[in-house]
Amino acid sequence: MFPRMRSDLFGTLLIFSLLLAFWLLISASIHWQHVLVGVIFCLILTAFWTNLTIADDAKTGFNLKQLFMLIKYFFFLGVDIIIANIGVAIIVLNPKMPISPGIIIMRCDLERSLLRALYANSITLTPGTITVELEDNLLIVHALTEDVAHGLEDWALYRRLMEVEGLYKNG
Amino acid sequence: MTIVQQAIPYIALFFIFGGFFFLLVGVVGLLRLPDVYTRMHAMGKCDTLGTGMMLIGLMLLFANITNITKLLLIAAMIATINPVITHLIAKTAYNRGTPMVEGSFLINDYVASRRHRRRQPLVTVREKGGDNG
Repeated sequence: MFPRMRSDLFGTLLIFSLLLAFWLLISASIHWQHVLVGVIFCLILTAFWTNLTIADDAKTGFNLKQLFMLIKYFFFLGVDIIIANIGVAIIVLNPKMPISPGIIIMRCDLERSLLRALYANSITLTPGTITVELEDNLLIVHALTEDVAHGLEDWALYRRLMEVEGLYKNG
Repeated sequence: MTIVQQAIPYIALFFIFGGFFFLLVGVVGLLRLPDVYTRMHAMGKCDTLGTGMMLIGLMLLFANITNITKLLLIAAMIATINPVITHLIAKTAYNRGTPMVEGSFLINDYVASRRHRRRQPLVTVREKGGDNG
């Protein structure tokens, strides 16, 4: 556990500070006893879970611009979720139920595992589409109406994720 | 007591009733829509926003940093778990060949838009980058 911590000191510090911030938020007090107990337990946790949180070969990267882009992405994802829910409500509460469901098979060029998972989850949460399968670069999506399926090809959030990935590859 | 403090319960009430409405829409969709995949549309989306709005309303009512942290964690968990389970159900249904409702379309854009293949096979990508996400 210690060689890993020494090889990636920044990642260890990052996890430790995240845990300590969570402890301070939960305990909601800065009495020195609280802080001492928190520091001790955060150190123990960080030391014991290095095999899960810190990779052997790769160092923990931290890119402020990437973080900013991800926050922007989550904001637009929230807007899309609200639009999606209103769309589903309109379709479901309409007495005639104007649906024309179907499957669309397309490709997805994302390669980083986190971004692939984010993309699949975003498709599920946004207007009229759910991810059925994402294997290699084959993406199968079920769409609730046919218009949605045609609009999925050039989607703003996908372009945002590709930007994040491009930054990751270059930097 | 300022006007903002007086308005907070009403804003919280708005959020809670909004969440209630979306959860109701989810249940109605679950009953009305024709097959597995379309039903997953209703459940996967409306549950996320409905529960999220309810939690925001509760946050406004509590106004306590400890409870707000816990409610935020619950909201984050629901927002990640819900699409994953939706995806799993849809994937299992698709791979088992569960029939879709009649008149479903199928668009295959994969071959049409193929430009280049992945340079390395997925196995090596998984081994190399499995845990850097």
